[in-house]
Amino acid sequence: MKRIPFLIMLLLAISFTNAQNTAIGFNEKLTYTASYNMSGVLNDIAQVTMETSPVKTSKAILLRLKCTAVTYSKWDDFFKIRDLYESYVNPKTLTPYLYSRDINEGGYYKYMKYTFSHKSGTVKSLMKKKNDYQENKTVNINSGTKDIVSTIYNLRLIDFNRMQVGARKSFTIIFDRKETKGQVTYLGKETINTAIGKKECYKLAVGSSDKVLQGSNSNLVWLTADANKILVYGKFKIPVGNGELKIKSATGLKS
Amino acid sequence: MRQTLTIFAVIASVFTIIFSVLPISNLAIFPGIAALLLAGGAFYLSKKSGEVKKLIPFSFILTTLALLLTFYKAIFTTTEVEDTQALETKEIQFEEAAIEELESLDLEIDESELKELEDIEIDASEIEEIEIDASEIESINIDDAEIESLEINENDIIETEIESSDLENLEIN
Repeated sequence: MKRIPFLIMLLLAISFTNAQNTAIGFNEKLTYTASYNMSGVLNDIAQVTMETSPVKTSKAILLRLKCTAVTYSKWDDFFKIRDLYESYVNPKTLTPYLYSRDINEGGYYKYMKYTFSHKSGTVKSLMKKKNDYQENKTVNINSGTKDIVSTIYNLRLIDFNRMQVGARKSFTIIFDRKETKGQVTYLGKETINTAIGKKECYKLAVGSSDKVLQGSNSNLVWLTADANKILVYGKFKIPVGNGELKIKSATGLKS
Repeated sequence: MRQTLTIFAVIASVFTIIFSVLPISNLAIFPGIAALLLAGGAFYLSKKSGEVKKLIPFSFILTTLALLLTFYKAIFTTTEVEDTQALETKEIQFEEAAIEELESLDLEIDESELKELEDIEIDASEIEEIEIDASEIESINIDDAEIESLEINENDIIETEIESSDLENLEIN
């Protein structure tokens, strides 16, 4: 159960080279329902919200990408999740500068902050846990490595119209101070019913080098085949089961 | 056989009750159906032998009540999030801390990218809170050449309403 919010995030994580942002606006809000399969029955576990907002500093206006995962009230007495992931990125290229992850899952607490230095290829990390435990560490990263939140949004910068069915793109994300490799495979277009209407979508399969996401085509995402390319549906398979992510609402879209 | 079916029916009905009160109430359907079938079988065999134990109707009633609760929760209960104040407070704190930290970073942003951020929506309340230092206004330099090159459309002048009281107060140095 603890892995579900992270895995939802990893399922959506893709990174790319310096594509320009034409899909993500400054005040966008996407709301999802995360469900988990228990004995063949899907149960709605949590609400996942992805929001963007402008952040003004004296040097520049950045884009704040925020993802929260909150269990529904009926689950709070059994396993309460209050997760906050955020990344401060360049609004044009979605290159991250600062990332933080604050998770509170069933009493387990962890805070992680990354400060990126792309010039030197390093990330300064700060980890905090309960009982005031803190740990600082500098990690070397490869060019193009991003945090999980910015890679999720980078997915929407890919020009899928130029991709052939079966084409793959690889990605590297930094999570828990380690780089993880993965890839996304374009499986073609598919029209599906969603809470925001019937949508023609790009269907993608996501895989990772570690065994977090299982199977070759078992972890799937559907992005709308329009200028926004928002994620409307996702399926994931993990060592402890499988689940789904369904869109509930979408506001503030750029196009 | 009758005894076995009765025991399993009671066990299944207990599981149905347990699942129906938990958040996973929709799983109660499986033991519920099993309990009904087992109790039904036990009841049939009991009728044949002429001896119906009270456990069998008890199991039926328990299962029925549990399934009614399950259906009620499925139809009338809405899934929603609550108790998010702490998370919202944390979001604001993190944003403030992040802005402080970003100020000290070398953001490596190309200035040409900043010019394209023209369609950002800025909340009016944020503008109202902006403090302007009067000394900054006094120190503004206006280039005479800019004034000379200023073009005024005649139509704008004609449409402008000038009150005579304004002219009386006008000072020309």
